[in-house]
Amino acid sequence: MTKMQIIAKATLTFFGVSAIVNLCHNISMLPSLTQNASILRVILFLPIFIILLIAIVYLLILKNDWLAHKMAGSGEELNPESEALWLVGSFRMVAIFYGLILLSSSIPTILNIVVSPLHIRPMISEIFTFRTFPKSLIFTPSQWSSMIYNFLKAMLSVYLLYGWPQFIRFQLNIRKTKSSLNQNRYTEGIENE
Amino acid sequence: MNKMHTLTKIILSAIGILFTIRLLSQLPFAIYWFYSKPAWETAGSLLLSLLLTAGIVAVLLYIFVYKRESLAKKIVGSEQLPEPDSQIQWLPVALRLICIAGGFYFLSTVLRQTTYVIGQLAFFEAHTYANANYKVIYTYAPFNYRSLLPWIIMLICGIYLVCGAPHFVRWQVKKTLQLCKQQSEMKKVR
Repeated sequence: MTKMQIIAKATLTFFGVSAIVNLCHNISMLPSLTQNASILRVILFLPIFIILLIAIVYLLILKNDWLAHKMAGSGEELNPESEALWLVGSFRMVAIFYGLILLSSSIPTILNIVVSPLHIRPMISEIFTFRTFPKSLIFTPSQWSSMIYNFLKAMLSVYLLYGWPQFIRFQLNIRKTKSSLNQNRYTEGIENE
Repeated sequence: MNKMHTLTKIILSAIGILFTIRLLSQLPFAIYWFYSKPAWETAGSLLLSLLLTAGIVAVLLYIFVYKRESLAKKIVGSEQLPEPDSQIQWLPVALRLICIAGGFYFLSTVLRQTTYVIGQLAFFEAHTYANANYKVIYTYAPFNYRSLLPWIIMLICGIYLVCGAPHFVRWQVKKTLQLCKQQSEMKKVR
């Protein structure tokens, strides 16, 4: 891969992750938007979101090599060591940039998660003493969906700021298997000749 | 001056212009409060918001457009980079630039919230003078610790990031190089 192709690949991944977060935001708003709507409309909406989600994950995150090749064109190929460095570096930069953007809107959620043990204890004692479910835990579907979305967004921001290690390792392994396959084909070709 | 310096200068100018636009785009919100309730309180809030925004925009333009050369030198480090290290040296520079951009994103969000709160407080104050019933309707408390704490944390994070987040960048670079080293060692074992 060339330097430009790696940068294009990282940029595509950034677009993919941000599209997933935006799509999940729309899905989390679905219960509040369809409060008075029939269940049929929700059933019609959900598959569209899921198909879009799968398409984004597949085309922009997992199999974006062909798009990166088209965007950046051909050029001087990097040696494996510097290719790994460029790949890790560019993915990590994308992760940190998007992690910081997500963190700016996730600080209240993270604070709520940190102070939640202080709220859970009196609730548990209320359940055992009065044998009633605490009213503060009764949420509407739209509240639940926004809470789940905010929680997942906060977790994603922390994971991205941690450096996105599993995803980067996965991408490096894909590159390694591809390059070893190419090498095998090349040696087989020489032997046949 | 090498390529990295030139690139850093361009990115710094871009950061300055981008966040100047982002800050200026929030001015209509500050004007909105005065437009919806023309009074001395809302006029004062508008003036304060304008002064805050203008001050930060001036600082941004001074640092990122006028003094960008010295800032680029500070971020990149040595002026003439030795060739073998250049592969590794771009990583902390790029991470530092991302941290600075992220820091300004944080600070501009804090400023937007500050001008919003100032405008809202002035709006309610103007209404309460006009009609005593508004006091009952709007029991707004923006200065309790629960609503202030996230913004204080964001402000601290923003200042740390604008300073270049040295510890965070060092940790990230160390981790990146470790990962690359692990991969090359695994390749050698195979």
